[in-house]
Amino acid sequence: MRNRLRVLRAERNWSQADLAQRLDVSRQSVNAIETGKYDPSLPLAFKIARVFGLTIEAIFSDEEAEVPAAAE
Amino acid sequence: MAVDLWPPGKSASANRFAREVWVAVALYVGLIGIGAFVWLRLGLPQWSAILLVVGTMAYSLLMLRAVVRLFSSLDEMQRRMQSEALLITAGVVGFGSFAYSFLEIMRVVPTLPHAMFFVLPIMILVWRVAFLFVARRYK
Repeated sequence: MRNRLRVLRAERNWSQADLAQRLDVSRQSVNAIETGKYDPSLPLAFKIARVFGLTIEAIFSDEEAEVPAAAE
Repeated sequence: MAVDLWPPGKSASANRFAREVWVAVALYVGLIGIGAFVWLRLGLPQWSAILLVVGTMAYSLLMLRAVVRLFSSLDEMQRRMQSEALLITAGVVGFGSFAYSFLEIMRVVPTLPHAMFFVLPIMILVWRVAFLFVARRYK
């Protein structure tokens, strides 16, 4: 699963620690989500969407679903 | 490293829980060690050994309570990492002790007296190492 977390965070001038505090998770978790090493649960994804004031689809995208679409 | 694993502002409570775990472990190991030493020295009846072991088990429950509280203070990714580390620990210690017992029966390795005493400390040690190994995957 891909995400725009790093870009959205940079747009707001938030550090990983700032975002971690807003989400009530560790900074390491924010880093793992940003680098795609950890996919958040649905409740956490909703929380991330709420923090950025966006929909989940605007932040996360399904890599596997994108590949066939691009091939067509 | 430990401070970074918890959500900002929760490291103090996490440290407190970690302290609780270690105090409970120290109390449990210390009391059962001293108790067993005294029991052997005084040559007390066998039934009193059951009282000693059951009495000190209260401290093992304290330890479990602290571990559960520690888990609840972690975020979902940290809980997942700890769960993976526990799974590795169960496999390594479980199959490791099984393999050692087989080698003991075949007289390939020496028979360790009171080997069961080492299971808990080894589990704690392996859990710590396994967690560091798991944590690398999420860096």
